[in-house]
Amino acid sequence: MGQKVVLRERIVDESPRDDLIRRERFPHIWCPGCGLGTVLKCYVEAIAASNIPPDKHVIVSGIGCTGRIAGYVRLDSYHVTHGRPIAFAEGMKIVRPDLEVTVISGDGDLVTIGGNHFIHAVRRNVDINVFLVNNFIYGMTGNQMGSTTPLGAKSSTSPYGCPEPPFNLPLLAAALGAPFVARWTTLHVRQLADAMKRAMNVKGFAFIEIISPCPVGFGSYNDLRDGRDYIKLFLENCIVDHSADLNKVGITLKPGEPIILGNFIDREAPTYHDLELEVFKKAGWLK
Amino acid sequence: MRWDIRWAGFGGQGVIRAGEILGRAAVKQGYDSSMRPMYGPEKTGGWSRADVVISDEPIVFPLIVRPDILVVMSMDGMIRDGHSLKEGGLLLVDDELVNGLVRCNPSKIYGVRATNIADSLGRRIVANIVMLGAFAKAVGIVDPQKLLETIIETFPKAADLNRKAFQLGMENVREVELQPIKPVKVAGTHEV
Amino acid sequence: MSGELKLLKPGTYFMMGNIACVEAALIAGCEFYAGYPITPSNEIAEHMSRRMPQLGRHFIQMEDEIGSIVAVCGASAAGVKAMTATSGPGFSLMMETIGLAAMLELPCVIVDVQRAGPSTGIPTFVGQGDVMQARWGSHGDYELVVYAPSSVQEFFDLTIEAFNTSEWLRIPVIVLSDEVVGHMYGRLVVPEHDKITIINRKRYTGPKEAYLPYSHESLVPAFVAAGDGYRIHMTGLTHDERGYPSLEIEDSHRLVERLVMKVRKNARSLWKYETFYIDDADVIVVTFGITARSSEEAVRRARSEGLKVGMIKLLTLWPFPEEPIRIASQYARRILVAEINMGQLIHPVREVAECPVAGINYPIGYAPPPEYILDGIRAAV
Repeated sequence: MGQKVVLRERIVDESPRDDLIRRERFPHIWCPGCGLGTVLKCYVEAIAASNIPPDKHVIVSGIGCTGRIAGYVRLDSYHVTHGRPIAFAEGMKIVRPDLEVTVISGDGDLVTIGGNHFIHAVRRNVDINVFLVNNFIYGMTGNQMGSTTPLGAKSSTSPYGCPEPPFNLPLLAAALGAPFVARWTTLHVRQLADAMKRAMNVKGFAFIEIISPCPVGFGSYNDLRDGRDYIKLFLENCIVDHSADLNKVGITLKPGEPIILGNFIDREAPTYHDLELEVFKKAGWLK
Repeated sequence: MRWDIRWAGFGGQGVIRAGEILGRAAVKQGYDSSMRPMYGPEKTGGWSRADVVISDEPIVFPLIVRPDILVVMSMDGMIRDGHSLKEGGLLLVDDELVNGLVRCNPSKIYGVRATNIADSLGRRIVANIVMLGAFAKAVGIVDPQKLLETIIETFPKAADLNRKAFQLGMENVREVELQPIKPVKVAGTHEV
Repeated sequence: MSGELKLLKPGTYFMMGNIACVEAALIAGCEFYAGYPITPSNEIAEHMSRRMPQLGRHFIQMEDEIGSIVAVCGASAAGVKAMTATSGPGFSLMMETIGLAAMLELPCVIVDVQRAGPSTGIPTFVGQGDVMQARWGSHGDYELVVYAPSSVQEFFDLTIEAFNTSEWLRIPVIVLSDEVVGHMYGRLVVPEHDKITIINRKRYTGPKEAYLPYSHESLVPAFVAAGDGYRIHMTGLTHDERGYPSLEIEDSHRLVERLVMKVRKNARSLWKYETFYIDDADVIVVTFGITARSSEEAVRRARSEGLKVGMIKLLTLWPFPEEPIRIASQYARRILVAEINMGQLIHPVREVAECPVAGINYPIGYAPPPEYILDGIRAAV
């Protein structure tokens, strides 16, 4: 009996990653069944495994459910305006190349309102990590459709089914030249944490799309009302194919059309920093 | 003493650069100066104007309403800015390109075939420097040596060419006569 | 490789306003510039792109003005002095993030080279229509400082002042220039660099446990940068002294009050203005920017006609220099506010003046000629 109490206290009050978590801010705001806790867990595991001191890690996030992640991590953490974390991270990374700057934010934030910053940051190959949590919907504002909502999916602003085709994000990032492109779900915890760790060590723009459950929001409109429905979906409908044809990895959520996962791209390309050093040479600052 | 000098032409003639050089030379000589560039949306061929104020006291109002001296490098410039010249003011033109007065009543007119002279040097781009040479001779205000010095500082790689252009401007400027002609409205006409 | 050697040397120059602004920013210690092309501020970005790399500093052309000001905030959060420059349409796009800079208390400088509006307006013509937007453009309660130069020299001086003020108070500071002052060439005297005051933000170096990034103990909390090891949190959400989001009304009150009071309580030392012939003036012209140059000439001519006219040129538009205007209004019979818009600065003047206030408005894209101001003065006298 006494042992049980001790066990409970240990579970509640301590975590092996307490040095990386702002425990005083818990409980977090995320709904039951949400995947963001898992994303947070994978991120701190990746930091611990990254061989980069935590003091050099910086997280920037925008607005939305995922945007709150910056507030729960015990790092230098910046929670900025809607759609703008990538531009903020660019400014920071350019003046402090020694920092390991990671943007974690939602699909609505990063590729809808902030889509322009996204495409240009990839094009420039600024050496930041962008972990985009895709739950197919604007959760915090009340489940409106966005640029990642699958065609035909319902939401509070697509009661007849989403009339627009969604982004194929791995294809978009790869087409813009991103040196690292991956996609995992929150069920694939090990692979996700490993991909994050790899992203931190990749030179240049590293992009991971994280498919994450939103049973209370997207799920309630689309027959995925329980966290377990998503787990079933991820278990039964995902295929890992690292060398997939990225033209064919768009997500439909239709039966028989699987979600393709993998570390699709891992290549080298000159970063913004490399190219800026060339400018410094031409300007006479560097020999 | 304050001189209001308006330099008018079309984009690509180096009107604004001429104004900048004139102002800088004036400052070197101890004057206060300001230069206000204005141009239309076209990169080349549109209207272009430099308003240069030179004064031996600190300049209060840095812009020009009615210039004392008008330098015109194209007929468009005459049509657009001829009217602004002060009654009895001084006019300096490229008299190959400007062949009449439009609503303009100068007391003296000087002419130099700046574009033609520049062409003879093989570089039409130095027409503005020929014009500056003509200005130094016909108008004065700024010491010609200071002006030439400033030109050479501005274009250190083309010192010889510009020195020649400047000299030819000084040598070839002369008093000319122009007859009033009928004004034609052009786009970009405006009065300050 | 000393950067100091490559700064603009002391001396007398004939320089374009926009270029003078850049050279001033470099002397002030600006290490990051992000911008997007827009007339009539382009010379600032162009000159920055040439000069910054010569000093080992950073220039980036962003995808839009939103990205520009956000990147400036990011660089500032990393501890460096940063700026952007733009004009009307781009300034409108920056508004949300100016609020972010105010909320996160990130020092930064925004130069707005005003052009004729509204909307696209006339990009190459002058306007002064951003006076109210500069002060009230972002949503919510905050205060910032807005300087308005009327000459190349003032553009230079006020750009350095803008960096100093932004670092001192940890606020965004706007240099509200205009197309004429930006494009105009004029005489510029650069003093010996060691005679130029440079202020850097107060950095915290104490123990980590004791650090509160948004402490209310003083009006301006000490700053730590990303990577300093304090592992701070900054959020645009209303936050407590730890920087954590808070729904407590008390936290909100204290935060907003401090954001506002750090400017209001220092207003007197932020007010910059010059007076001309106001001692016996019946009519006083209050003005700023290029319009101040027209007005000064008009006032001189009015004096030569025997009219008792004076002028106050505001170099600080916000916080509004209430006291000098109020005192002047107690002696003058009438105040005239001259500006290239349909009446913006007239509102705060009217708020504090104890005599009748009228506008001399010139909304057509040019600097008003002195004659135009003089007509307004004659009508008022």
